Order: sequence, then C-alpha cells, then structure tokens
Amino acid sequence: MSLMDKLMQPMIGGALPVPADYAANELVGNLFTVWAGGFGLAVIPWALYCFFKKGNDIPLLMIFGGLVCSLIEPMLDHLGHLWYPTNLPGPAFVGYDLNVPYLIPPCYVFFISMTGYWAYTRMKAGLTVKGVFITWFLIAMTDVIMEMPGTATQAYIYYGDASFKVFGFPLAWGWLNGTSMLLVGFLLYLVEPYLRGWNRLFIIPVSVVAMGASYGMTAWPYFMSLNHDMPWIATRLLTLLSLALCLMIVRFTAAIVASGHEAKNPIEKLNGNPVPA
Amino acid sequence: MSTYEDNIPTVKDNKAADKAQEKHMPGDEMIWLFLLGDMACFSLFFCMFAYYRLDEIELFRQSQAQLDVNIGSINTLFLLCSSWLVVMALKAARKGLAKYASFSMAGAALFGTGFVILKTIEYQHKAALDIDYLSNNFYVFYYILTGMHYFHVVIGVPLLIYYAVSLYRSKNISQTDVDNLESGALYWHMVDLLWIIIFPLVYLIP
Amino acid sequence: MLISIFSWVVGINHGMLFEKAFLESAAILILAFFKVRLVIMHFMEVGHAPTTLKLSCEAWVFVSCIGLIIMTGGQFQA
Repeated sequence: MSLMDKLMQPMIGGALPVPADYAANELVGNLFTVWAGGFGLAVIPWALYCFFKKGNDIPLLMIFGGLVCSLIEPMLDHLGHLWYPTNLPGPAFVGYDLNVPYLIPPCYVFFISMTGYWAYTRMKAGLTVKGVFITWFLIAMTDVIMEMPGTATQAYIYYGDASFKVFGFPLAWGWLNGTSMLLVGFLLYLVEPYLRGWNRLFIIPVSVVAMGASYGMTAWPYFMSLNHDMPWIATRLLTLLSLALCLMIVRFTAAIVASGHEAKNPIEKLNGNPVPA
Repeated sequence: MSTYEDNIPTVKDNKAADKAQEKHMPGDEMIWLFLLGDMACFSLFFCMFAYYRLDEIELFRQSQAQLDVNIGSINTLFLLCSSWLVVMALKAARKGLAKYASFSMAGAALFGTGFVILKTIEYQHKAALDIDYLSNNFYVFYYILTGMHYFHVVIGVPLLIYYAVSLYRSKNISQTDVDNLESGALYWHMVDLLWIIIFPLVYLIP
Repeated sequence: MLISIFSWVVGINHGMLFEKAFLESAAILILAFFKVRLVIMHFMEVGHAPTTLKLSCEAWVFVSCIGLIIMTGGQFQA
C-alpha cells in the first residue's frame, strides 16, 4: 500500500459494533475498580473535615457535583468508542447500552470534581499564563496515570482505530479530560465568590456544566474522527484539531486568570473593568 | 520506635535546627490529598495481594522464585539514594544554594533513570520468558503493582529533570519555587516509599 | 539516617533467619513499614507538620502494616 493509499484509506465511522463479548480478567477488573474508585472514596473524610472543622463547604458540594457529573459518562463513551466489559463490578447504571461500572461515580468525584477544585485553589492563589498551562498539564497527567493501568491491562477498552493510542489509551482523552477538569475549576473560580446562602447549592452543577461545555467546545473534532466516514489522515488531523482547540481554551482561561491577582471579583475582569483594589 | 530514632544523631540535629519552623506543612493540602489517596489505593492493592496469595500460595511462591531479587534490591537502593538527594536539594534550595540544589536534583534524576532502565530490563526478561500479565494471578499483581509504580517513576523523572534545569538557570529562589519544589519532592518520596513496600511484598515474602 | 536505612536493606536481603515463614514475613513487613515511616517523617518532613496530617500518615502506616501482616498470616491459622 502506497503512502497515499494509506493516508486516504476510507475509515468507517458509526458502524463499529461494540465488542460486546469482550470480558476483562476478573482480578484485573477488581484491582482497577479499587484504583479508579479508591481516590474518590478517600476524599470523603477530607471533605467532611473541611466542612465541619474549617467551614469550607466547597469540597463536599463538589463531591455531589461529581456524582451528578458521572451521568454523562455513557454519552461520552458512546461517542468516544469506549467499552466497559459487562463483568466489571457493577453496573452503577446503564445508559446508551453501556453498563457503567461502580468505579465511575467515585472516579468522577476525584478526577473531575477534586482536580477541578485543585485548579480552583491554584487560580485563587494567583497564576500566571504559564502557571495555568502547567496546572492543565498536571491535571491531564493525573488522568493519564489513572487510565493507563486500566487500558494497558484491558480492564476496559477503547475499541476501534482511535488516534494516537499508547498502551490502548488514546492520548486525545488526556488533553480532553485535562481541559474539562481545568474548566470545572475555572467555572468554580468565576461563580463561587457570588454564591451566598442557599445559592451555594449551585456549586453542585458546576462540574457537569463545565465538563459538558468543555466537551462541546473541544471534543467534537475527535468524536467526528471516530464517527464519520473519512480518510485515515483526516482522523489524525481532526484529533490534532481537538488538541489545538484545547490549547486555545486553556489560553483563554489563562488570559482571564492571569490578568490580575484579585480573586474576590473575577467577573470584573471579564467586563474589562479595572479591578477594584 | 522512638528510641530507635533517637540513636541517630543526624536526625536529632535536624530536629534542633528545625525547631524554629515547627508545625510547618510541607506542600499544600491538595497534594497531600492526592498522595494519601494514592497511598490508600496501594494499601488496598497490597491487602488484595495478600488475600489472593492465601488462596494460591504455592503458585505465588513458584512465580515469585522467577523474579530477580538482585535487580529489585538495587532498585531499592537507587530510589533511596534518589529520595535522599531530593531532600538535600530541597535543603539547599531553602538556603538559596541554587547550583548545589540543581546538581543534587540532577543526581536524583539520574538514580531515577537507573531505576527505569533496570525495571525495563526486568520486564524484557519476563517478556522473553513469555510471561505477561495474564499468565496467572501472581503476574496480574506483579504487573499491576510494579507497572503502576513504574508509571509513577516515569512521570517523576522528567519532573526532577525539570527542577534541576530550572534551578540551574535561576539566580535567586523565591518562596513559590520552594513550595513547588516541596510538592514535587513529596511526590518523589511517595514513589520511593511505595517501592519500599512493593519490593519485599512481591519479591521477598516467603 | 541514610546509612541506617541502607543497613536494613542489606539486612533484609541476607537475614532470612526465622524458621517460621509467617514470622519471617511479619519481620520483613514490619521493617519495610518502619523504613516507610522514617521516609514519611523525615524525608517528607511530616514530623514537623500539623497534627491532622501527622495523624493521617501515622494511621496509614499503622493500618496498612497491621492489615498486611494479618492477611499474610492467615495461611497458618487456616
């Protein structure tokens, strides 16, 4: 096959059947459940400590937010060609013909809400543009660390020919998830100072709103590359386009976060008004 | 246990010197949350390892005999030296000795690289023997425990190199730099201490 | 401190002296966790940290160590 043929080889999109009969090694499944879910359970005592000892309600509300957020997992899996073998411990719930295993809700608690909260604390403390990019990169790396053991041992699989797979993990998920977690932190950074009294409860939907928004903004080229019929090279280019979109979004975020070190009134910055001292 | 520590003079000296900054929180709260979460997951793995081991004790013993204890021991030393150099680097950075800190960090990164190389050789030996993670339950644990730890190291080494380079370039070290350095150091020490348990558990326990 | 840690490493590799496998496992694990505690307290500087953090770390070391010893020891009670 010539290079040109390889580049233009037609890739069939949506018709991919899910690997329904694939089963994970049972022990691997259990271990991965502990790994991906354990972090989420480990933060609960800490969140309670923050709430009762320090009067900081954000971690606790973010935990609920993470649980709500996990409801959009099967949608992303469906579009992103991810399959959970039915013999993983679970299901926590079923959607889009996917058995979403027990590990997902606690996993979202840590890897969406808590990493988002971490980004929020960093932003509140003041970050430069470079600092925002470093935060984004570190968050993306936590996702890679968390997922690769699962894909490398095939506790679950990204089926089909996704772009840039390393140990069965398509790298695109690293930057897509990293961006979504950063935006969770960013939205929290924007709205949290204005929420008082019962309005504090609006912190709960922050995770799902920001995460959904992030995927809408950055993931569509990647999902296109998986679900449309197109030449091989187009799938790779579209995946790179999603990276470019992520970098753009992170740069926008950084522009606002780095425009001053006043964290009490972030919306002033959005309006372009001078930040009150 | 405390009597043991008191016999080590260097520890005592440090304690006296650090009296001034007592109750200092190394790193920040979130990094500790991540580290303790990570450590909690690993202890659950350890307990699962022990639990499955009881069911198939003979299989586990036979498989364990195929492991290379020497490589494992050397790697333990590598990580300990590396960790210790990171401590030195942090102390130097606090005193503003950027060059010294940079060289210590570089040394730490070197030991970390040594660990990665030896571990890769070990994985290749296993691959040559047609052993993979599905061979038996022992190897599931072997690959998941050491493999996850391997990932931690592979991510930690570039971090150390980054610190070494940025320390080498920096003229003066700000408090923020020291704080960042502390968080990185904590991560690296955790990588070290996980190996301290993984090694005897997987390689040594009779 | 470094030297003492080294001596333990060497000791672990050569000091397989106990007759009962369970005692040997327990000894190895206790030494391992003792080293871990040293790393946490001195390398990670938790020794000077606020009480909550210190207690969390001590609890992790203690619970993991005891848990593991009980789990590995189960073979001889069964």
